[in-house]
Amino acid sequence: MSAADGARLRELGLDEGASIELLHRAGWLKPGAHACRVGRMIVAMSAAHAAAISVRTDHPAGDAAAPI
Amino acid sequence: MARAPLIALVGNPNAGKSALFNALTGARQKVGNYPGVTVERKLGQLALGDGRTADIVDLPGTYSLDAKSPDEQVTRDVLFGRQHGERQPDLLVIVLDAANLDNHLRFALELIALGRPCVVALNMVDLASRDGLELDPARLAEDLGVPVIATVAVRRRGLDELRAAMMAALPAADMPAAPAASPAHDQPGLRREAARIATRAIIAETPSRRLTARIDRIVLHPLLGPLILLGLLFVIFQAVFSWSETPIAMIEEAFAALESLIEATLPPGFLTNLLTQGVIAGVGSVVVFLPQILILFFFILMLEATGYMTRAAFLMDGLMARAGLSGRAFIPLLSSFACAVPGIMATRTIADPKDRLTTILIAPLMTCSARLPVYTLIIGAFIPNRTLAGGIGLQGLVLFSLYVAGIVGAVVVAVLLRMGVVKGGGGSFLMELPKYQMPLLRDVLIGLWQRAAIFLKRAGTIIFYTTVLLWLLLSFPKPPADSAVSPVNYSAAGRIANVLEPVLRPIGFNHEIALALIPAMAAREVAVSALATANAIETSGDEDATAHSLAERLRGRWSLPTALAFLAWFVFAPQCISTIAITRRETNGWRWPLFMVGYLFVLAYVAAGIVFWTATAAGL
Repeated sequence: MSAADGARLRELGLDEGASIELLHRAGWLKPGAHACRVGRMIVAMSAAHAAAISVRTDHPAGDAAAPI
Repeated sequence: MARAPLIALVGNPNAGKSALFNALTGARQKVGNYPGVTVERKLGQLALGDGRTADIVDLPGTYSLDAKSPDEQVTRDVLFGRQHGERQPDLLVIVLDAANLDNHLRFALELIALGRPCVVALNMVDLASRDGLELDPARLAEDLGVPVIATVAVRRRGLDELRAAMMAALPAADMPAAPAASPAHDQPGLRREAARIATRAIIAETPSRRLTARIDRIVLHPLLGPLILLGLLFVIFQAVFSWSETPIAMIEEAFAALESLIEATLPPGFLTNLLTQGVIAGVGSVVVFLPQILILFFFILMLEATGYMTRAAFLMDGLMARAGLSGRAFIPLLSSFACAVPGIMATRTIADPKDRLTTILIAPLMTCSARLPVYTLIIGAFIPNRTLAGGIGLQGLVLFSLYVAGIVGAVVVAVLLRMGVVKGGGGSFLMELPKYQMPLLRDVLIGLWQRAAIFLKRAGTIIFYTTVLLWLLLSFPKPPADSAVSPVNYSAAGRIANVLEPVLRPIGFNHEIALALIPAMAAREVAVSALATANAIETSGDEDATAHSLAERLRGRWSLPTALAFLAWFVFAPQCISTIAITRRETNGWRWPLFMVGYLFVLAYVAAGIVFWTATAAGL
């Protein structure tokens, strides 16, 4: 991911410590764009961007960081 | 005389700036470009209520002062007083989406830190309330240190209060503009502060966007979503044909009445012929397609206003990625269906330069509305008006296929460009999906009016001049009285077409088509007026022939393979002058427009040839 895309993601609220919820995934055969709720906003991003973001689930068993 | 103060509407994308701009200015607005760039400049006038009038400018939406695309650069440069052709605003109206407060407040804090007079419009409070969010504007104003007015631009709520706040916040007219401070760079700090202020401003909160979430579950479904999108596009293209029949007939009747009036009023001769065969036959044959163009724009404006357009980009990202583009390119490409010029202008929102260049180069392959007159004429003349199973019209289906052919061509060209001359980079797709909204009829009508004015201005200038010039070229020199050569073939235009004809004959094009293709370079729809003008001159004095419509005449003179090849040519046909000019401006030179024209010529020739040879071999 480019530095500009990283900065834009942060401007959209996707920063360290932010809570996000994966809402939609496009594509049938190959994973397409992802739509996540960030605060009260829905942010759409390509599969490549989503793969570059590490998340930690709030499920008790989901401690490990994993890409979206 | 003191100049009118300048107020800038500024904020994040999807904050409702344009709706607020329309609500404040009504029809008193001018749409143009900033000098040297193709970023749209929307300027309007606002009566402040104290006798003063202010200029108000709607700046492109951005997330921060750290500009990442050409339109965001314009916003930043205007705010810092560095934009050529725009003075520094005297007042900033910061438009916030009330339902996205924490995110939008971060940019608002950046703007307030510039030290310019500011007023905050806390917009779309109705939608925030619909989503269970109750806010306290007074506390927000206290924390931000600037006036905060709750507004619902689309319902015209809060406008009087906003106008009063603007009046109070505007500096005295003779006060010199202070330089804006440097942008704040402490982004994490701004984010924390924004979150803190947003939390304090929220009185009550319930789970967000229930309506939007419910709709999204259907329209963004991996399987249903693309089917709905495809269905929508299909309905749009069917509507373009079926809804326009009555208004087209009315315009045709009006032009026919005008022609009869001129013939009855003026004596026969040069002026009467120029007006009837040149102006009315030419310009009239183009203006008649205004209803179809407006129907197409109506749907595009509705898709944008409802919030669906970004969903379409989301659904298309995977497919676009395979062509080396991002879903963001879908919006300019869809706009290009109406006209490539605004489509190419819309690429300014694409941050990656190679992604953007590829989108510009393939935008002409989207079937713009200027091709509609050509398609409509040929489809009407050669494709039977039959209804197939399921109530689908055959003519609409053929039109839809032509659009699909353009899209497939664009995908193939994009892949080749990304492998060759525009290699590397690209594929960045990051967008906010706005809430669904009920479009406001007034805003849609303003948008339609602006587009109709552009089309009619085009018909009154470039198409008018080209048509008159063409009529002169088609009418002179006149053949001698005993000549067996037809007036059109004997004319200057006929002789130019004679030179082109041998090159075009292998792909099934005749002399008449060669003649129509020359002025079509100025604007595609002129091909129709060229055929109409040539037809009017050819049949002049022959009442039986004149009684036949242009479509009937073409049916009698062209074979089906020729007509299909003509359609194929126009799927890929090289661009009009306006598109070439906008591409030159957008790419800062002649290299890419020339490349574009060159590859489109080759594509058009090859496609028309393949269609002609295949149709001939199939015995059509």
